[in-house]
Amino acid sequence: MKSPLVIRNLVKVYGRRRALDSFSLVVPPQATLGLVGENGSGKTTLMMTVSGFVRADGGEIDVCGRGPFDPATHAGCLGMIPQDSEPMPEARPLDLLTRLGIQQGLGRAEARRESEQLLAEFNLSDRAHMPFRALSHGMRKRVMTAQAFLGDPELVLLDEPFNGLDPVETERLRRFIRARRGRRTLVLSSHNLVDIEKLCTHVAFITKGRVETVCTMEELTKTGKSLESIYLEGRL
Amino acid sequence: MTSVQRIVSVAAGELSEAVRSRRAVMTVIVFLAASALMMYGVTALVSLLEVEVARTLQLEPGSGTGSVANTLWKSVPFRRIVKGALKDPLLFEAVQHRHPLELLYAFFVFAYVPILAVLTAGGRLSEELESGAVRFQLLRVRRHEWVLGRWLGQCLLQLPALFMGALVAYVFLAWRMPQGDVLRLFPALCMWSFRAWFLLVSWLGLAMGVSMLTHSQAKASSWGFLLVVIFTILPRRMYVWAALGGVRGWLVHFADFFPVALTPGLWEPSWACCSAAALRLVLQSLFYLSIGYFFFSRRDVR
Repeated sequence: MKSPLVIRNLVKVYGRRRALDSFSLVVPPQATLGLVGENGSGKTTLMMTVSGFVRADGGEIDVCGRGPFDPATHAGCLGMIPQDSEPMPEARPLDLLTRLGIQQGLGRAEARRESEQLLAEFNLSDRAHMPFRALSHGMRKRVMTAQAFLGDPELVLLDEPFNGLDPVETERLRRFIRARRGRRTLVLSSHNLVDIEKLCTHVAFITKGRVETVCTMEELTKTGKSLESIYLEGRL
Repeated sequence: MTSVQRIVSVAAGELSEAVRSRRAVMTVIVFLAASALMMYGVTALVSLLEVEVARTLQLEPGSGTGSVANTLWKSVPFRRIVKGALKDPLLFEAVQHRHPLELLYAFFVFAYVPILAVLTAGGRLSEELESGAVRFQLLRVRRHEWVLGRWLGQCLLQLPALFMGALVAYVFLAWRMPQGDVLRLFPALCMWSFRAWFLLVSWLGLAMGVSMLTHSQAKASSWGFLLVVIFTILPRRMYVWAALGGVRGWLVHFADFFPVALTPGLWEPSWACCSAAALRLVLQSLFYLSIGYFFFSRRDVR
């Protein structure tokens, strides 16, 4: 089976700083890969570059075996929760999700049905018709998470998905991710290493825009140390 | 889904969000209020002055408010004055058979559309760039489809607003001057609103083109207003400089890149001339939009 995300020698430069410096990574199919790294190590830049929001200065990206991301050729193939992004305050969750579903190629009825289902899974059915400005930060975050899974995409990029969620909703999202584990490819970035340890099948350590190590969670457990202690070794 | 379908889908989203947006609704209300105020002010002024004007020019006394203004407009000396003031015989030919109140509305709506364009669309794209809302769209549609969809949505959104402006102006006109010839002006007011829409489309292209260049809604609106002022004054100065002759003569051709230079075509009574001007304004709008897109397509959406 072909890897849904192949990155070779990716470079992104902001002024004098190299946010991504010959970054290479092959995400195994149906893996749940956790990206671990310090602030500014390049996790968000990587996700933004893969999804085409940020232009790469060099290197190659292959998403779902169809080349660099293009919304038309990759319709319904890539889902994402972008960091620090919110829809317009007057948008309504159900309308927004339905429209986004239609835009990625679902039929109107299908998009509506799937949006309702996702909102129910994220415990937002009663808020489906409320404007975003009336929703709490956590609720907005859940809608944003729901949109990433519209159309059950082959590859989903989750940038800090647990930020701003209360413990109940955090657990609900963990269960949601677990239900998709092994069926779809998920790339997850989080500073909560316990979440990465619990949810991911693979982990990639990123330092200064480069991949330091990639290993499976099984390999990590064999060391007898927790992800947190391995990550903090030599950093403190 | 085809590219056209994606553009239409973005436009539909723009319409549904704008209808719910307080800012868009407020902008339309301000336009309607300005339209009503203008018509109320004009009719009040006419009713105050026309008795004096009739007496001074020894015109026939009218049966009600506005009739003297109409008679005045038809009088030869007054037409000579207006022709001299317009400094454009073709424009004078185009408007001489029109009712003066209809023309006042036309002048008002043509003058107001740049402000309306910047108020509603000046920060439209930049506010989505600022909040990051654009990213949810750009995962599903290409950048040019998003820009064209938003532009189409804004263009469609303004058309009913302009017709509502005509309706409000007519209601005030009918209330203040309930005479036969004035009551027949509603189709004419709608026609001027429709013609002004093409001018608005051009200004929308400029406002939205600028809106793509920054992540700040406030900056985009400020630049939009500044450009409206520059784009209104500059072509007029260009005509003056070109008239001085020499190498400056080429400025006449350059002036056609500004909406103001194409506006006289919208005053033409002939539909063929008016349609040609309307088409050029739409193309001009797309030209402004494409300049903004040229830079937007090369930048990061961070």
